[in-house]
Amino acid sequence: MCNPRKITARATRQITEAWRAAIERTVRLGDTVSGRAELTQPLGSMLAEPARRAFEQAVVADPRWQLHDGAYDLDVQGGQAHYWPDSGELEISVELSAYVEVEGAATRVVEGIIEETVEASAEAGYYDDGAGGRTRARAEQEADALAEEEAERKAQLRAASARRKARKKADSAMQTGDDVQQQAEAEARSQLATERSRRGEELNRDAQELLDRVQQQSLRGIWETVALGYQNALLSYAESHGARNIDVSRSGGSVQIQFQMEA
Amino acid sequence: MRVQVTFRVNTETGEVEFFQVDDTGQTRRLADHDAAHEQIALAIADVIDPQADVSEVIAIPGRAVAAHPVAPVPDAARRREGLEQGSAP
Repeated sequence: MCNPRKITARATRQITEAWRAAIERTVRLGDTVSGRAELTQPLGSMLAEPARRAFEQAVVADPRWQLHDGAYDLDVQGGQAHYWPDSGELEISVELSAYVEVEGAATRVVEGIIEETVEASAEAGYYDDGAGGRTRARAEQEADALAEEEAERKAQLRAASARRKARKKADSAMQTGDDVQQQAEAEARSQLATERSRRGEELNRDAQELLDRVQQQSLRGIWETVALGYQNALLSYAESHGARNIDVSRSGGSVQIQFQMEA
Repeated sequence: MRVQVTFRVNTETGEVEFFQVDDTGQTRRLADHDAAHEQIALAIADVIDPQADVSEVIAIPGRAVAAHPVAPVPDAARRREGLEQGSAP
């Protein structure tokens, strides 16, 4: 038997672990938007003096009109009406409001690769004469197998470590999305400005339509008040002058008063 | 003088549609009849509008007065009308 000899085998494993983080930020913003419309009706110049007086007397007597800072205020649908006795102006304003909400989002993808090389080596002995069956070829086989086995074991350990490392990198990336947050906020602010403008225009149109309706209703109320003022004034005159056959009749949108008197 | 007052106002527009003071008396016309009739018409119109204009409408027998939706009155009858200024915008 000769002196024993050794053979050393080496094995390597390449570990590749890719990681990817999609950093997403969503920002919601909301605000109240309003639309407004107003008009001023020069009742003083539209109404004859007696009609204006009749209207003002009715306003003073009507508890729905409240005197405040020289004007009579009346709540109307969506707003207020103000009558200024000094100037004879009727001012009507309506305001509509709505809450708008928008969402801004931004995304950034961060990715990377963790690459490592694992090495392992193993030895096996043999005899030049192959005593006991321990030939060089067999030793090479054994050493190779042991090295491969060790490399595989190490690779598995390192792969698990690489996966943890990749996960940490991805988590860390997710936490450092300040720029993405800022992008999302900027996007949300931009969308909010657009939505405010769009909804504001809609509300202005709606307010104008509402104002038209309120104006018609208000004017109708005013004309009814004026007509009632005429009626009361004339009937009062008729009664104080001993009129007979006083008759008040309504037809369509008109009121007719008839009476006879000696003058 | 006996008069018949007819006044009609549109409650939706405030417009005075018709305002007429008819002399329905059967008395003979006096020299100052027209002035008296006008005075009466103005006094009544003043209740509605002190600045009302008064104009005369003469009814011709057998013919309706086109400007007013009322039946013609006897020959002797004369009308004064005060037209209110108030009207819808």
